[in-house]
Amino acid sequence: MRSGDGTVSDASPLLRTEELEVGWSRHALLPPANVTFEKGCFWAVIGPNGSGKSTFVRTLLGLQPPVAGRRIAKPGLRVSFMPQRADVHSRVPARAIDVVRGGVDRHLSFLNPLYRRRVRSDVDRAIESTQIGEFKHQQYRTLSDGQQQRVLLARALASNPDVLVMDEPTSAMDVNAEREVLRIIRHVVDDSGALVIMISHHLPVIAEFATHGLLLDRVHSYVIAGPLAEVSETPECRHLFGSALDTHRHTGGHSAIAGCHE
Amino acid sequence: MLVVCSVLGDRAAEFFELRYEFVINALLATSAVGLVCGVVGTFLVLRGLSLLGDAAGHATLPGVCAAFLITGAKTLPVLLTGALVSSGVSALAVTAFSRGRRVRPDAAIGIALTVSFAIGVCLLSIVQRSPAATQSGISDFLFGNAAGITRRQVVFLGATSAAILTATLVFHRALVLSVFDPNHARALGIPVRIVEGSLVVGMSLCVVVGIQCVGVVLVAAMLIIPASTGRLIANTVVGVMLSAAVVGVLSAWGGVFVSFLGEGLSTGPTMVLCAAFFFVVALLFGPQGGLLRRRATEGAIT
Repeated sequence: MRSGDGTVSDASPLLRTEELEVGWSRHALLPPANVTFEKGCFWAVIGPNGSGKSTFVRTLLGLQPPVAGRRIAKPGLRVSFMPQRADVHSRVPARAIDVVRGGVDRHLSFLNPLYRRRVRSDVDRAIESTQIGEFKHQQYRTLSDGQQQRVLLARALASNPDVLVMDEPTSAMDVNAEREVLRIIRHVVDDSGALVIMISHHLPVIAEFATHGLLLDRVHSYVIAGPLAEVSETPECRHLFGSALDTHRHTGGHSAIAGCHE
Repeated sequence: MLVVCSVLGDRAAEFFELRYEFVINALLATSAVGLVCGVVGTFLVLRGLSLLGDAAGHATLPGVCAAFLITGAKTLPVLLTGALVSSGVSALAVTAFSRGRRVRPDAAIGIALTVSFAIGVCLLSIVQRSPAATQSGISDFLFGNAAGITRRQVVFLGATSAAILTATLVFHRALVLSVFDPNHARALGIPVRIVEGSLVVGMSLCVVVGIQCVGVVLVAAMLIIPASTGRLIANTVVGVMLSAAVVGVLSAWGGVFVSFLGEGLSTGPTMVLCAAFFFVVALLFGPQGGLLRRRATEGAIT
């Protein structure tokens, strides 16, 4: 626990849901969820294909309205979203560095012509920490899938987010590249105490890096949330994934993460 | 043959001396059209909404006719307000419809375009039955009439264009973000819907500016062709925008020049054909994906 965490405003969670039901056209996909997301935690959103993971995360971000209940975000919360690669319109010409620069504008800051200059060092830092410097002047669409995902990560990090939300951020990477990127993310979390919420299918990686799990299943209609160790013990998780979520777990690795109560 | 050449030469000389006021007016007005349509069209083309401009263009016709029928006045501000309202309404309707999942955007655009044009043609035949119609100049809006543009119209076009350009300059970062990745922009707290709505309104203004020179049927060409040409020339959004603006203005000048040479040729179609010429050149030689360039680099690699 870092000093200064004791104030009242810091103690309130960054993000929580209250009887939140997500879905499309007023039809709920999942039962109501009550989840509290604290700073410094690394949440993995897991579940079978089509279980409502993306819908849940999009609703949590406020990209689509909830069917019922509500999401409560701490005022002034800075959220970054790293979408699946396919959601980006790559017919728009942009160099990698232009994409990263696109990550710093928030709310109405685009009205200020000097804003980009002020945050130039943030962009440089994001480019450096994600190691995309060598191809930063290439066109985004000519990069390999894994490189594109790194660029999107740099864009998400460029604005120093409180919450970093990622929809399968490493789906196009090989195992080594994926580990490398998750180490970068973990490093950022350690430094800034950000909250990470990540959709992923790669169980070994989740077991190694995540602190918390959010297990969703539309067919069997459940939402299970909590510390990863507890979630992985539940019969539902055992049924879906066996013991895959606790095999590689390296204990004690999360003590460095500030403010997260496991 | 020689005679034809020398006649054309004399005409060209007259053109470049800028002896006639109507030529100067036409040049100024069409330049404004080429400039703003190129700039705003860039965002439409990159967003994959090129045909929205076409729908908005066709949708001005019912507005112009209705404004004339309701007020009985044929003053320009009245007619253009009608055009702005009907094209804005139809373009916003298309965006609203295609946001739901039931109607595909291309189908929504097709419906809006044909329905509004059908209404427009019906109203136009009613207008033409009225005694004041003969000199009302309403059919000028169908194909545009750059040669008939007055100095007052030029001032009006210039002011509108300046407003559109200023708004684009102010909004351009938000526009680029919303076009590139709307979900991400929304997560950053950028008001994507407002930005996209403003783009649609800006496009309607461009269309209203454009129909006086190019006409409702062809105005979309000035939104689509220069921007598509710019896409083949530059590899940043700002670069595409600047190239599109230059191509738009050059097409305007070329169109006025050609229509002046061939007396009786409408300026709208000649502008569109000039733009198409630039597009074909860029398609062949453009540094970003021009066909001959690509072949050359492919040859170099193998």
